[in-house]
Amino acid sequence: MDIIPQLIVNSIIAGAIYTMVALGFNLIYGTVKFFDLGYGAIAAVGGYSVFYFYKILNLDLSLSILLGILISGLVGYIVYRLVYAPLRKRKSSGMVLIVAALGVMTALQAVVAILFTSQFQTLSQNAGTERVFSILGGVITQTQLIILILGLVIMAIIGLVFKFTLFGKAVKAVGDDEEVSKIVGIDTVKIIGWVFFIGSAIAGLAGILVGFDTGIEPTMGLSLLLKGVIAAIIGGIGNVYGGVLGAFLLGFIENFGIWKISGEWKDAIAFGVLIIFLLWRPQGILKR
Amino acid sequence: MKKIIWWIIGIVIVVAIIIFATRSGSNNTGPIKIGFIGPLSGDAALYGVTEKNITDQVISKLNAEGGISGRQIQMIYEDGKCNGKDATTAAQKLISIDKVKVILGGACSSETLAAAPIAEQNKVILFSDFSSSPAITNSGDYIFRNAPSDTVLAKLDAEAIIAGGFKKVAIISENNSYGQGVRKVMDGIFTEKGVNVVFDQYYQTGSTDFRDILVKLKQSDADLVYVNPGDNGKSGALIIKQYKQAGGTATIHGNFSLGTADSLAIGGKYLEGLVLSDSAKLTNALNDLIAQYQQNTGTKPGNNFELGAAYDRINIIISALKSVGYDADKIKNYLYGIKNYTGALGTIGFDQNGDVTGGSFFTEFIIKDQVEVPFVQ
Repeated sequence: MDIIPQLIVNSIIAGAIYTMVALGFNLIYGTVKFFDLGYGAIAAVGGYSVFYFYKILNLDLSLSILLGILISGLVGYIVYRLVYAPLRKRKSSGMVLIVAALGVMTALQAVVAILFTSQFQTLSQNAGTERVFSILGGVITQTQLIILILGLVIMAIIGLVFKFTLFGKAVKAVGDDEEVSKIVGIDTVKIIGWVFFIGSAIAGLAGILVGFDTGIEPTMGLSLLLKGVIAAIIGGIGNVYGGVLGAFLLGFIENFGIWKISGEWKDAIAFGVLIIFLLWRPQGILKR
Repeated sequence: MKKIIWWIIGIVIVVAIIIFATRSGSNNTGPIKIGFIGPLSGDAALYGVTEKNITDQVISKLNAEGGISGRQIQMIYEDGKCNGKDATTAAQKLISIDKVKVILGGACSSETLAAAPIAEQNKVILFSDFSSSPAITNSGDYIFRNAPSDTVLAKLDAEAIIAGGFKKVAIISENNSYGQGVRKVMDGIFTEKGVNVVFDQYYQTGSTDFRDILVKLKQSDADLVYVNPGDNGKSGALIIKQYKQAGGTATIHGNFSLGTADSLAIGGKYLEGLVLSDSAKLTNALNDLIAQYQQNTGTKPGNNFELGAAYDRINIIISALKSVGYDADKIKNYLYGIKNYTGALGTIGFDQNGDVTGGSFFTEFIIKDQVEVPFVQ
């Protein structure tokens, strides 16, 4: 059989998953300018919330997903108010913030593991009934198609909000210069709080979708986050469209990179690309 | 000068404390300490927890009856996390700090293989009930197991494939001790019997997305795919699911781990028609044990065979302690002397390598309507 169509479809699927993560990460990073590692654990929070509502309490699927997204956003917001906001107010260095974020990630993962054990779980109710579509000779499942569509929809929404609303402009202003924004009367704490809520909700959604595609475990967030971050960096950090571009570029490089070599080198390829970009084009493909 | 004197005094105090602490640890009237290494967290936790639960049941009953010659048994559980690094730390801690003479463990082959050299060097018994890597056979004099080596299982799986008349076989294995152990045995048999292995690749432990490998697997045009995970079957079930979703049509056989409750839940209907090896007909003793376990813990054991093996293991150790006392060398000789021990797994013994003999453990099954039924070619 011909391998290329499936490689293309696989690249698009991978790109779609990275897009989700990169979008939320970019939003938060672009505004507060620090590496929020805790963001990875939020994906697990989303996945496990749905697991709890949908599979343990047997609630309606769409209601469970909605609750999962809200809880992820809320957890992200609470973490910001309790941990990051006081640290930023004290003008802590980036090092302090990244260590705090690492702590947040470890703590959140531990809480999830305590509540649900670290066993691997799947979200889909009855395996084997999922619809499969054939495009250009490659195969894509219904969940993967939903991931792809949602990724692009969220990108469009964020893009439009940034361009046309007062809130979007305020977020951009805070990202450009927080001090000046404060002086001109923007409530930066409130704006950043919203950014954390929205970014974390997107991360939660990514965790939920990955849970339906493959499955969830408490430590699922870190590898997702790292790929999302690579995508954000090579696409142009802080740039909404750049993140998406980077995500798909990464998906294609990874999947075509292992065409002739063993699949276990996928991560090595991804990080190799990251290093190349950091050395020769640190601003990424598209500038902020 | 004054500073140096303070330093010397400090060091003397620390050394004195260490000597004092280690001395008070080893006496002959305190509890008999038995170490345990197994995965208590992570993907394979269900195995470690099953072993811990059943071992605890046996030990608390024994302690309630007065222990062994008036001495209580104290179990010290360490989490090996199904990997060599954590198992090494656990073995070092058990041997040098707790001063145990017997360690039950590990469950995963990676744990046992990592702990074996440490146990061997310190002359401590390491007794695994679930590790099946062929490499354990020659890992030392003090290393025992009552789980059969993968050679037994892999042979069975390979024979089923050869008997089925498949000519182009693909093997997809997890890159850990278990997966590689099985793979080597199968490769050897296939080469010998002239079966063409058209695809033979690994994936990293912890992977959940196999689309990349599966693209190449489909391209290989194999008529049979042998799925060979080394965890709780999770990765194997995901591979089969993603393979079928991608339109794969080859017959699928798999190893032992695909029969776990986890694997069946993840794979669901996609596992229909999967041929795999699992424990042969359960003995009555084991059936009783399973029922009792479910009643006591409210959960199913991670694996039926393992429950029996863990139960037999602690009972064998108890009988050794009762007859020869808490002395690793004497226990070692006692274990080598066992030729007809009847427990939950039937009648077993140990050979000169500390491997299990006797017992008819495994046979091939096929999954029909999400349940394992005996497989007939």
